[in-house]
Amino acid sequence: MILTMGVDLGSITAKCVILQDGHQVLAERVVKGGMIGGGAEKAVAEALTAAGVAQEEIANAVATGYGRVIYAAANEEMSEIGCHGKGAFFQEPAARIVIDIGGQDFKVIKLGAGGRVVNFVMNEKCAAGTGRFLEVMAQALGHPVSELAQIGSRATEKVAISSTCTVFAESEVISHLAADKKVADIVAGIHESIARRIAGLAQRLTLEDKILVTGGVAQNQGVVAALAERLGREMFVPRFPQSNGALGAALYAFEKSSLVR
Amino acid sequence: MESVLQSLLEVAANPSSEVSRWRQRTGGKVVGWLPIYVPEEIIHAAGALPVSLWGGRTEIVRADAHLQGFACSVVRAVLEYGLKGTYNMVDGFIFPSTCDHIQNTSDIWASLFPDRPKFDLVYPANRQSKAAVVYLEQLFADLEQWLEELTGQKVTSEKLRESVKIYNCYRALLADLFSLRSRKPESLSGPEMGQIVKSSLFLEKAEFNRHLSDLLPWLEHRKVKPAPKARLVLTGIMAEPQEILAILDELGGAIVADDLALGARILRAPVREELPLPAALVDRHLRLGPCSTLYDWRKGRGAHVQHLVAEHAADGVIFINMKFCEAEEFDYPVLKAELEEAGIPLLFLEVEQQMAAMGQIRTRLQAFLEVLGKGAGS
Repeated sequence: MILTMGVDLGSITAKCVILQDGHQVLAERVVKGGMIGGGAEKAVAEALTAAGVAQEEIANAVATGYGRVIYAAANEEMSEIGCHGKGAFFQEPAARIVIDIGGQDFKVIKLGAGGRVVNFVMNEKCAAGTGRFLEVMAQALGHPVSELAQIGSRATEKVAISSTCTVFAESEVISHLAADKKVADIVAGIHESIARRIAGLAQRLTLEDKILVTGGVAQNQGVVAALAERLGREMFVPRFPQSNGALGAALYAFEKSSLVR
Repeated sequence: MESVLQSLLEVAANPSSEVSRWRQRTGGKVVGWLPIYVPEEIIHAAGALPVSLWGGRTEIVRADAHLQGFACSVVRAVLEYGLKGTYNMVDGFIFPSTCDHIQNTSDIWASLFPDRPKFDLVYPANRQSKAAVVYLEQLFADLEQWLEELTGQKVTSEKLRESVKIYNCYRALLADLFSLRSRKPESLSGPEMGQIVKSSLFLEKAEFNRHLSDLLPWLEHRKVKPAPKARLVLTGIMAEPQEILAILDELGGAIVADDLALGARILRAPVREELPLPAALVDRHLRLGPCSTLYDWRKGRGAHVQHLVAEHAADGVIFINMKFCEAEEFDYPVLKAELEEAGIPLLFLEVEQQMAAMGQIRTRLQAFLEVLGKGAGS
């Protein structure tokens, strides 16, 4: 039995996956606190406890995400783009495109044979279309970000959010509130705004089915549905959307450890 | 030899003290020129020190009062340096009509510094017309006259011929250095390579030539890093911030050829010494390109980059985009389609000269090497 671990240290959350023999997920944990705030250690400790294994039993660990270079406990690092490719291929071998919407960036990844990354595009330094954008809007609306999907599902129309810039979009949302627009309709407009931004970038790659949506924002059905409508394609959310990168890292750790043997 | 290399790196790290030293030592005039194409030979023949002003890493504070935040970081930095006095030792400025940002910065410059000598080098867009030749001859004659007035020295045909020789030698030596970068990428770190090219912008070229010709044979046997995993062609305006080159070294990527404005583009088309002067300088300008800032009816950049990939056995291309550089951004979709057609992997990397956070850059570079099969997981 070979146990491997993947740690994805994002800007807002830390994710840890413990994998047995490269195919069975023993534990998966997502905790608040990414690059700063000790999220990695916490996610690792929780995952080890959940899996009922000790750190010493882990044959190999790989880190990914923005914190990958500062997380010293890992034996190796791999870019989160490569890890998302591996994770997506494992979760859904038919996946050809991964749309990963994280806390501070989003990426669209094209997969080739065996889940190898053949091309990718990422947003530039701008929070539009990311989890951070959703958080700022949720704060302006006075609702937790986790409730947005449910609120948006009650919308009867989409209020247009025309600004791409997060700061301007926030003041637009406040104006809509002041104008007594329905909160549900504003939320639907926010989801649409994110989908528009991501779809614009995604179209730079030749899209192919099957498309997987991963990252924290994949848990918001409103955004996923808006994205499907924009791109005119079906979107699939895998079993571990937020830990997909950590899963890929654990898979890579397994490949490496089996090479050594 | 290590000390020669160190002195060049020192010039690149601290150009203004080097330029001030030259000015004190010789009592000559310093002429600063903005990117990309200026017939430096004429400046040199007028006895002045030509220095090339490609911005730099300075906090933009004063320039924001005059230039919008969506102007490219190079012109914003040039204006900032002007306002904070970094260019106080520069006696005259040349603004070529390279792009909207430089042309309009020239106007802002004139209103801010009405007493500082400035020459607008307004190029003809259509270089295929015979009128371009007539126009350029007059333009260069006007520049020569402006320089003579600034320096108080006559540009004689002997001096100009001598300067042309020195500059052709400079281009040939840098071509040798670039060939070394492809043959023996281990001989210089990425940042060292960038700094050597940068140092040449501030040193008198005969002096730089002496240093580089001393260095080249020694570099043949130098080894500062392992053989690269991936060979890359870099296209764009410039390879800055130079942390990018350090990150590439660390990941095992080597730039083996470039199509950079501050790089191979300014070294193209040596002056034909068999032609009369100054007509030979006009002839050179007509032969420059392909470049996003020069009208190119053949759209030759894609073919040129493909040629570089083949010639240098490169694995992929990085398009390093100076944010808000419209000329380059309009070239990108054409280049992308052509490289895709040719099956050459391409990474779009957006930068600003003053950017500090390198995390996103690192992710893109690392993932690109993985895509090339030259990184983790391959």
